[in-house]
Formats: sequence, C-alpha cells, structure tokens
Amino acid sequence: MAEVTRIEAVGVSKAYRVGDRRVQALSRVSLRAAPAETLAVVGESGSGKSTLGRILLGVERPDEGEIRLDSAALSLPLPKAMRRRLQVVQQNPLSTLNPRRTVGQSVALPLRVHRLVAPRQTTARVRELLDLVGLPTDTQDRYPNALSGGQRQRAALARALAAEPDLIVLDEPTSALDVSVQARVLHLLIDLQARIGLTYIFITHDLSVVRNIAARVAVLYRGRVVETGPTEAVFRRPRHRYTTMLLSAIPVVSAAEEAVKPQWPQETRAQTAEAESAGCTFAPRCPFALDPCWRTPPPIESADGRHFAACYNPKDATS
Amino acid sequence: MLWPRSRLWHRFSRNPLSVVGFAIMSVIVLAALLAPWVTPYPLHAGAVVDISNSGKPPSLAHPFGTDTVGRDILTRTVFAYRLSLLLGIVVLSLATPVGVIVGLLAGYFAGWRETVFMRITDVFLSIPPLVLALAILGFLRPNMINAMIAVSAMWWPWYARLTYNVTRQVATEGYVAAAEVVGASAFHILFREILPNCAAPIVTKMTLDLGFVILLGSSLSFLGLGVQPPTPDLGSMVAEGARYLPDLWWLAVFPGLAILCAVLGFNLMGDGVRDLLDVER
Repeated sequence: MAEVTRIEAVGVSKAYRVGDRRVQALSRVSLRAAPAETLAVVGESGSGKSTLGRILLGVERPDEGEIRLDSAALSLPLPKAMRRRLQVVQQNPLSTLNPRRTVGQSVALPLRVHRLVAPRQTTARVRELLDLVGLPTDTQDRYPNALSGGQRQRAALARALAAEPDLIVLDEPTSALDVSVQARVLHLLIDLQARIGLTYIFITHDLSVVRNIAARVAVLYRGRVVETGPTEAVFRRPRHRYTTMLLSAIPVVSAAEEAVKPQWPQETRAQTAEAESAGCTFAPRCPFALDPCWRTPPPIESADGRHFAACYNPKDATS
Repeated sequence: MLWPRSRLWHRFSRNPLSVVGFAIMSVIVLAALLAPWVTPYPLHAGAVVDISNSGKPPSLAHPFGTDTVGRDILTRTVFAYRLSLLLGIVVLSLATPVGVIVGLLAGYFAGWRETVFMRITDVFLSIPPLVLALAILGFLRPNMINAMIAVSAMWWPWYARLTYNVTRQVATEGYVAAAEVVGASAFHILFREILPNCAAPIVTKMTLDLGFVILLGSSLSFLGLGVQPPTPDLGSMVAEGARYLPDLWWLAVFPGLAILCAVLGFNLMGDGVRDLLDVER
C-alpha cells in the first residue's frame, strides 16, 4: 500500500500485574491511521483500548512492538518536540480540568510549556482557541466548576489544540455527555479535522458514534484486534462474530434499520467469558466457535487488502 | 477564597464547638501578642524577685497567685504563650514544607523514590515522638532553638504520610495526565497541578497540630529540655510548681490549664476548618 501513514502501531503488546495475576492488556496490536483520517478503536471495557490510547500517546511504554509517528519510531520518554505532536482529550469531563486553575490557565499550559507564542500574546491566543471550540471568550477566567460537561470537553479540546498537534487521541470524549451535547461536540471535532487536518484516534465503546466520525474502525477484543477495515465495510458486512454481536446490540428505532442490522442468537447474549481459550479469545462467548477456535489464535486475514478479520468461521461462511 | 466572608463564617459556625475553639484561640493569640500591655506585671516575665509577695494564693491583685519568688503567675502564663505559639509556628513552618515535598515526590513518582522516602518516613513514625525528641536533645544543648529542631524532626513524617496519600489519589485525576501529555515539567505538575488540590487536608492538619506541638514543647520543657529559666514557659512552670503540690497548688494548676486551653482551642478550631474545607469538594 502506498498510502501515507501518520501514526502506526506495530505488534504492540502490554501486560499488567494485578496482584500476582498477569493481565495481558494488549497482544500484538497493529493498526495505522493516515493524516487527517479518523480511526475508531472500538471495544468493551477491559478490551485494552485505553491502554492502547496511552501507548499511542507515548506516555506508556509497550512491552513489545513500537509506535511510529510519520514512520519514525517513538522513543520514550518523548523529546519535548515530539511530545507536543501527540495530544489527548479524555473521557471524564469532571476530572480533565484542574479545579484550582482557571480554564484560561489550563488552555495556556501547552503554549507556555512549548513557548508557542510570546508571553504577551498568550491571552489573545487562548481567546482564539476558546473561540475555535465554540466557547465564549470570558470562559478563560472561569473555574471548571462553572462549566457544563460539554463546555469542559470543549475546553479540554482547546488545550489539546493549543499544542498544535498532529494527532489527538480522543478517549471516549463524548460518552459522559448528554446525547444532544454529544452530537454538537462530534460536529465540532469533524469540523476541526476538516479545517486543520488533524488525525484522530477515536476510542469508544459506542458503535453508533463511530459511523458518524470514523473512516476506518478497528475492533478490539481482550487486547487483540479482531477486525479492522473501512467503517462502511465493517458495518455492512462484519466478518468477525464479535463485531456482529456488537452491531446487533446497537439500539434502533425503525423497522428499516432493524432489517439491515445483523442478528445475534438471543440465548447466547448472556453468556459470560469465564472459560479460557488457547485460541480465539472470543471462543468462550461465540455460538459459532469451531474446534480450531479453541486451539490456535486465528490469524488476521483479508480478502481485499482493506477489510481484515481474525476469525475461522466468519459470518460470510455461514450466511 | 471563592465565597464571601459571611458565607464562610456561616459554614464554620454551624458547629458551635468550632466557634468556641476560634474564641479560645483568638484570646490566646491576642493576649500573647499584646502581653506587655495586657498583663498586670509585665516585668515579672523576667528574673524579678519580690520575696514579700512569694507564694501568695489567687487574689484580686494576683488572679493566678504568685510563685515562690513572688512573680505574678497570670503574667508569666500569658508571656509563656508567646513562646508556645512561636514554637508551634516555627515547627510547623519547618516540618510542613519538608513533609509535603517528601510526600509529593513519593506519591507522584512510583519506584525507588516512593520506596526510599516512605520507608524513611515509616522509620520516623515508628519511634514514639517524645522519645525521638529526647534523643535529639540528648545530642544538642537544651534550649529553645534546639527544642524547635527536635520537634520539627519528629513532626514532618506525619505531613509526608498525609501528603503522600492525598497525592496518590490526586495523581490519578485527568488533569494530571493531561499536563503530562502536554509535556509540563515535573515541577509544574507537582506544585501547580497536584499541590493546590492537596491543600485542604494539609491546612486542616496544621490547625489541629498547633495544639499538639504546643503540648509536646511543654513536655520537653517540663523535662527541662526546652526553654531555660528565667524565660516563662508553660512546661517548666508546671514542672517547677509540681514540687510544691499540693500546698501551693496554683503554681502548677494554672499553667497546666493554660496548656489544656491551647490544645483544646486549636483542636476545636481545627475541626471547624476541616468542616469548612471538606464540603468544598
């Protein structure tokens, strides 16, 4: 593929020690995003998506594998110039801004750390940034407790933008917001991407949001990428059974939507993943699991070079 | 502060005991500050001898009575508060920064710094305070300055422990992670992002501790290891007076009550400060 790649994860693994148990948060995860593209990383809680986000940001070191930004491998701790290029908007609007600092102080932090503007121009630049994310300029003198959740996420976005990054990891940026506020923040993100050419890694458990914002999607299950490809292809013709299950769980209102939505055998939804599998990590929850699924992890393969899945018994095979 | 004074006061005064504490503290601090003007016999704070008046029980002229060389005990008690308060302020302003910095570093940086700092803190905490202070004063000459050093040396670990615990909690907040991603220096993260959010429990503890520092200082001078005569000090006055119990009871009882009032006043006030700062979160 001759496509340009902005950020790339190559064979990233990460394990944590919890008490005396070892938890494999990520196993050989590889994915990439082009400049000005949005890659959605989808998975349930505990799938390792937030760990992946921290590794992509260069704040956590992977056990194996590496992250490449514009083809250059990141070496941790990141040099200051590199640090600036990777920014984040976090999930929890209540904790993302320091309650003891004004919004203006928080947004100005990257400007001061990286000396992006002359000190006397800081205030003007902060106003500009607040305006860019749709906050009134008098917000800069306010403390976070005077702001709504949506406003706080906008302020956090302004802080990330202040660093003039190439990539922003959006770690469930809207999941704590009201649905109406969610939509407005998503529009803002899409609009900014079009204007500034930002690359987004959009981490979420909410598939219904993905379709609106992401060109490509990677589905994570228990630390492995089980399916990845263009959003439309993954949504219309999911191949991995886990993706199918996720899609079938999106609530819909119309019969037309229901008709195109993949179906999932009702009785298996409640199954829990107690059993351990030496092969596919999803096998214990999968009603379509075959013998090999329990023995060796399925390789991630593609028919068309764009849409990949790691499944021995993909959806196309049976239906 | 974010609120108008009246609202702060309203919150503080919801607990009547806090107000009592505040009143006791105000009286003590004012009396100590203005001691040369509010005490009946300011000269008695020094080495004055008035044999004709020695060992007089409480009376209108001497509400707390007089000591064995005829000095007014009320006067000496008020002057003794000056030293006690000075001790409290000096000790807290030495112990708090040391403990807070150790706690911040140990709480924010995992790994060897956490292990080294917190184990040192644990060693200090495992020795009974008075024993530690006595040991230090065994090496140093007993006087006011060395007493301050000794008490500070045993006091900072409590602040290290407190700050460590709060820091570990605050360090998980999103804004700390955001500052790291932005590339802010460790100095900025520790002192601009984390410390302001640890301030409430630290300030509360300082108020509560003032009374205890005064108590410990008095214990040291009771044992003859603090302030040396003729400077009036609550602990040495009690020690001196104890030799004449029960006949000249006022020699020991009034300075003893003075210690009690100080400890009680600062404690009640500390509870009020805690109520004030707790609700904020």
